Amino acid sequence: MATQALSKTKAAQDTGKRPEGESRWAQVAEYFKSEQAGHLTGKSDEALTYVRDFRKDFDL
Amino acid sequence: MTTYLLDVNIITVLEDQDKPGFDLVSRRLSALADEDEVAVSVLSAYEYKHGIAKAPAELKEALRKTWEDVEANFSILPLSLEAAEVYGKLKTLYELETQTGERRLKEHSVDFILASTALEHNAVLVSNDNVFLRIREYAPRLRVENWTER
Repeated sequence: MATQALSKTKAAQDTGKRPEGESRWAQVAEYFKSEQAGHLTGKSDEALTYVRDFRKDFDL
Repeated sequence: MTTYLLDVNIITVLEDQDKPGFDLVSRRLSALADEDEVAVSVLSAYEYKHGIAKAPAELKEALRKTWEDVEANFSILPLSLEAAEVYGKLKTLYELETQTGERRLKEHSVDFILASTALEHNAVLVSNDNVFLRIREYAPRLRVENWTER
């Protein structure tokens, strides 16, 4: 799904056009799901626990 | 056209697909109209960069990339003198009406700045911090949404 969205986005960038049927923000949301975006998925539990605890300050 | 001002706690959901709320935030973002704008405060940049500096080495690159993605896709709103006026009045009103102690009030300084920025830009403040619901009682024009809730 994400790969398909990415290729659509890439196609849109190449042609300067937005993929048909996809809003600007739907594309951005798909991007954040994609492997190209910065993600914490797959990092060690120890590191993730540390950063999530630290972030509790933001998540009151 | 509506402007949405994302609190840093929404950015931290977008960085972490395993975090509860990721799909909900993603869905809300997808549903925006093309003419809508999404922004973050420069203060959120300060908070996020602090998070990167403090993070374990193995996470730093991913977090830096997330912030690059934020800058690439969303506007960054600066601090302004107009919002400072709003901040001064709003925080004082809240302090007097709620009798909140100085220490507790200081903990929420950034929240009052975000609320003032949202009011200045007539933006919807998107956050999962309930403090904004309390601040809104003293700023009825403040619109608040929590995209991590259904």
